[in-house]
Amino acid sequence: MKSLLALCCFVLLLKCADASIINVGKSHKTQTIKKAIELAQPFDTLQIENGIYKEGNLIVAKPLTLLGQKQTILDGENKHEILTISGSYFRIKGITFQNSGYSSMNDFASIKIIDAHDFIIEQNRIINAHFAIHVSNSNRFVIKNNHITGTPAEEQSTGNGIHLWKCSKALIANNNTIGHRDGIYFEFVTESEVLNNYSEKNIRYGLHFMFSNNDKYISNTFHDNGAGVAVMFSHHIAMHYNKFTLNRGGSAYGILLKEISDGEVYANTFSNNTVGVFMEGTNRIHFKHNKFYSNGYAMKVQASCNENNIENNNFTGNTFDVATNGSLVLNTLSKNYWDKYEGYDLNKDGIGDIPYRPVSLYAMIIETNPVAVMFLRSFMVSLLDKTEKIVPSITPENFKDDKPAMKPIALN
Amino acid sequence: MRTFLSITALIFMAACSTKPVPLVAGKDECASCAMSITDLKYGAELITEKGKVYKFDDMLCLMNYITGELKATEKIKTLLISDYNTQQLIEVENAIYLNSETLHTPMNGQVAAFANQTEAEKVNLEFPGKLIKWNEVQQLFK
Repeated sequence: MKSLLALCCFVLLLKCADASIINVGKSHKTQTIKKAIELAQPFDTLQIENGIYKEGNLIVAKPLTLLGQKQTILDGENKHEILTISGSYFRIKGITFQNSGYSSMNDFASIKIIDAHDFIIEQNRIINAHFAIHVSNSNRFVIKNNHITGTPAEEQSTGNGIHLWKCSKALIANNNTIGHRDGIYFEFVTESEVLNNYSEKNIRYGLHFMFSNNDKYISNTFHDNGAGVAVMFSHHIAMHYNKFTLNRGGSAYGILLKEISDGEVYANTFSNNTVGVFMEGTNRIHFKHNKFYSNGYAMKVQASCNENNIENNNFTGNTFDVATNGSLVLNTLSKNYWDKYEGYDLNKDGIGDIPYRPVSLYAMIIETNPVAVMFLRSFMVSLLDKTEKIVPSITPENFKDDKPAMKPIALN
Repeated sequence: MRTFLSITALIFMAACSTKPVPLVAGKDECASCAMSITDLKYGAELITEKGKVYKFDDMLCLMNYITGELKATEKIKTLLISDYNTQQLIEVENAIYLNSETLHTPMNGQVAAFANQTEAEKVNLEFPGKLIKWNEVQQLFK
């Protein structure tokens, strides 16, 4: 009996030993990663020693773990895609990728993943890439703690930091993407989450959603990107606790919402943007507990927006609170705090007794004649705005907050 | 008097110039989808008879604009499309088009334009699809 047990243990051990570790590096028998991938059995681990590896395009099609050390560098010599992976149950951790190539035909990436599921890409550093991490046609995966830095010299030769195309159930967390075209790009991506990422100095958008539904992005920071964040042609997107800061320029917005519906925008901060929120063709979005401060425009709501609900937000220190381009208003404003509100509260219930109209006459004039912005803060303009407040004629009469808060809403 | 007239005429004509204006990546905004234009391979441009220029990031946006957003008072003078290889603007009637699902255009319009047939065929090998003419493109987006 005892010997049988021992045998069983032995067999089990052998089974475990199946998933072996292959050491790769100058001081080991296996000197190249290419060789190691060839030798490896499914579920093996490749421990790659410090050193610079210039091996062109590495292709992985079996479930492997690739582990790097502090100075494990894979170099694409500005010619090659570095790592191309398909399949499932693989993991890429702690490797530095640099100088992947550029091609106008193919989207060369530092790490390209095609037709895969159940994998993890974590703690990698990606420097000077065209596309950094490019995932297509995949589901159930995690991309976390990666540090991605591009060289945004030419728009043409810069791809996206983290690019997802036709994916579902992805988790993108704690990544830094700096200096790419779009920091994070989603096209046809569903049921995914974007958490705690930081996007800065990307040429186009910090985050870009296209045709992607039922996704969430929470607690991300988008700072100083070419045009902010764009969420377009999508529905059921939740946007919570994000920070949109310093997105400035002619076509720059904290967030651009275009042709989207049924979303939630809760507890975000919009500060120092040319336009905090730009909305066009946007339906049934609920804005709540957001902070808008020091923006050129806090919100631009185009006439094509319907049934949006904007309540309990703070608007402070914005040049213009809200601008619109039409007279028909089908959106609801309620219980927001507006620092420009000059009403009174006789019954002391914390709600102003007269409605606040956030669209100023002058904002309407600039909408049709942008050059008129020259006269901002002039005496005549203030006079016109005051007159318009008393007798609304040009500004949409029913674009108003009937219950403006007297004090800023306490938000953390 | 005659010289004066011709000079004024010249000035007026210069004001109505309808020359193509090159697209600037990262600076120009698409007139239809409001995205900033970054991929010049797929750009397009519409010039009205009065010389107003609208820029687009994708064939889809150009077509959407023509069928939807263009004001009735505005008449189209020239339609231009980016050549996939040289990224120069060419007239839509002179281009040959590749319609392929595998093309990653900014707005998923799935159409690329070429100044000549051989270049189009070359790219077609990489991106399987159909080579079509301008009138077929118009049918495609109807």
